[in-house]
Amino acid sequence: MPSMNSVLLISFLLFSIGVVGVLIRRNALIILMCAELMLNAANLNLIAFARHSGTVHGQAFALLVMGLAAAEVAVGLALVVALYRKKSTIQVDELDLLKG
Amino acid sequence: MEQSLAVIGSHLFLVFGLLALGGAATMVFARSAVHSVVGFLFCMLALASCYLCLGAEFLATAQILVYAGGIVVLFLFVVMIVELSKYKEQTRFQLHTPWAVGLVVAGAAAFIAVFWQTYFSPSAPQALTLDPTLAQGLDVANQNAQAISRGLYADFLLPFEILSVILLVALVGAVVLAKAERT
Amino acid sequence: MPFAQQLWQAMLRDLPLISGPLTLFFAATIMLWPGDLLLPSNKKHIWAPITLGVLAVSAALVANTANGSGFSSMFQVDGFTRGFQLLCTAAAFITVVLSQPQLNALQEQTVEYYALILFSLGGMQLLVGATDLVSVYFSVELMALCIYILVAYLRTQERSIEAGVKYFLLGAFSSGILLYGISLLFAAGGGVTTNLLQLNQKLALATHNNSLLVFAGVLMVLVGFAFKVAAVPFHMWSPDAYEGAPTPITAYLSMAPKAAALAAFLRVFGTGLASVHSDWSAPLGFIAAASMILGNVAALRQQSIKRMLAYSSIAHVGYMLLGVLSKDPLGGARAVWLYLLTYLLMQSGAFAVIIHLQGTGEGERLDDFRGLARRRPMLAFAMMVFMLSLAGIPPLLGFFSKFYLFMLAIQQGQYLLTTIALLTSAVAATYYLGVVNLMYFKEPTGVQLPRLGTALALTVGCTCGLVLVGTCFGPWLLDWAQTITWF
Repeated sequence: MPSMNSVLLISFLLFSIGVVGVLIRRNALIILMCAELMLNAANLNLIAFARHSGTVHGQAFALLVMGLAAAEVAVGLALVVALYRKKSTIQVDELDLLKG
Repeated sequence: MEQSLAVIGSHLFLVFGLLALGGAATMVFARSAVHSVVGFLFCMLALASCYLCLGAEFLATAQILVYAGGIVVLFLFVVMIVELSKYKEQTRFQLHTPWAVGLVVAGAAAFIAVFWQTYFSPSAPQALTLDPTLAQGLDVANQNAQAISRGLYADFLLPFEILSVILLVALVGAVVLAKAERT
Repeated sequence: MPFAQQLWQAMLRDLPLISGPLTLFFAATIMLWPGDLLLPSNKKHIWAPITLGVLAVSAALVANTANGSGFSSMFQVDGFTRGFQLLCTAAAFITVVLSQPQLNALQEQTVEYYALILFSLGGMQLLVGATDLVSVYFSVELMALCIYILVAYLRTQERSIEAGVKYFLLGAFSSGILLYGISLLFAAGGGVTTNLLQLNQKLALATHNNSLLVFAGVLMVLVGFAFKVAAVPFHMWSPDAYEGAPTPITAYLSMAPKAAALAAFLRVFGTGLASVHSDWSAPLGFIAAASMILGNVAALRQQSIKRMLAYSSIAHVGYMLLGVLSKDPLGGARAVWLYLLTYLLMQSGAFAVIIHLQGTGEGERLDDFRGLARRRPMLAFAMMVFMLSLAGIPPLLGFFSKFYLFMLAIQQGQYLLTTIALLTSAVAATYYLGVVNLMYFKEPTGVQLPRLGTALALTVGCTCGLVLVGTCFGPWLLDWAQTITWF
């Protein structure tokens, strides 16, 4: 059975990779995927600690978070498509109409 | 036999965890958007296997259905729509990349250093080791799905209903934002 | 069967608690379908009064909801909930009124706009009563999702889409951080509960080895919430979102979600994390000071009044975070509620003036206010009242609420932060008075302005009047503030 230390470590590393991705990539789609990765890292934590305590509290929460992530992705992708239609680019540092 | 299975079980989680990290790293550093999406898919599948190692069968299946089956497909569609003119990006990273990477690496190193010291020192308490008998609690009605349903509808009714409203709003938003312009 | 019956009965018992948000959700859903189908396309402007009616019904229901707790202790109605729910409903009401000129001009009277405002208000009403980290998180996400769409609503305008994308990416990032923090707190509490009161007890008993987990979790939850209220240094793209969004939505953004997020801030940190106060008081103090300083200093250099008001709202959040910092969470809650009430009046009045000026293509840049006193003396007078009140100049209402807040902060012993707040308020007076200077002492450049529409005139008149004489109602306001309690 996996020890909680390894779970915490892996979920933290996944979370950090997600944070790095959001901060450094220019493509809006990749930024969105990295935000989803952060949500998944939190899910891993929740499920692991549900296992740790033997209750389903964490698992039910994780299931609801999955649904939320899907809804957020839907809206995010609609925004990206609308952006592409208007500006023909999805690189976020080319969005310079609003300063800084 | 039991013991070797248990040892393999705990190592299996680490294997899948490392696979997930590999997929995530591919996603962040790939040059082509399609490679990133494939890395994301790989990461999601590896995480589903991690959930299986943790005794959450229903959630592992939900992860594959929702993420790999739904979200990744959506991403691929949008990548198709917006990437038609470019196959590979010239510059992948923003201007402030060194600062951002430095900040995150410093923060992560600090956290892991303290974490290592606290949790892997000889005096770490039993609190974090798993009690296998507690796994029974997850199978309240002999099946993980039934246990989750009890938790979901009895304890989590309000967030469940809020989630349904969120999904409705996402539907409305997607239509409002992405519909074709009126001529 | 008995299990299902139990669930059904529990739900029926708890439904009256959320009668306010429930009305909003039902009304919005019916408006979307089949309401929009049944309305002929030349009568779409009827949605506005219908929405106002729904908001009034919801406010009445909210005010009449009895105290109680339900949904497995995930939602609770008390004086605190009612007070903030009414505040957010008032903000939504004013936003719908302020939206009319722009929507009419652009012929964008669509039902989705109003439905999204109703949905987001429902999310806010649920947020201020949430007593469990799970319901807090989901209510925040509902509120935020509606607002991402509203910011990008005018999708034919580049700036609106750009603002929407930036705000969305920022929001998705911050919700990831918030959720990870919640999962760490869940882990630190033993992995059994996310209820705020129970978590508080468990965290108080955290062993030495768990304290790192608690600290990291508390920090991440703090960072997540700081993103939601746009505090420094987590305000990255908020001024852009404020500038690019349609102006009534900018007004909405600066009033309602901030109020709801601050209420959640108060509840989570006042009841849920009270036992680990030492973990978060220093970082929060730093965030409050940074918001006050940077918000005010950056507002000095802005050319666009929308951006200036965006930075000034960051500064106002900094002041309100002083209330969150207090060791007496209820006292802080009362001060913050009072501040938000007065802030609502001042901001809506200022935005009403800006929207009126925008109708003629001006109103975006500060230069458009030049010589307003000569072109439209009453409007300039009202704007002057709002600017002076925002700056906190006595005897206007803004001074009253600032005084109450700072007095609370001093009582709690936060001398350094209050000093910073007073100094930065002085800096703020500079740019607020700068607008007054432009209006009264510079030559007019714009064209003749049309007459003020009834709705806008009413808004400006009421808010201006209230701000002017509000301080006389001080005792009544304080009495109202005393109804903000929780149990």
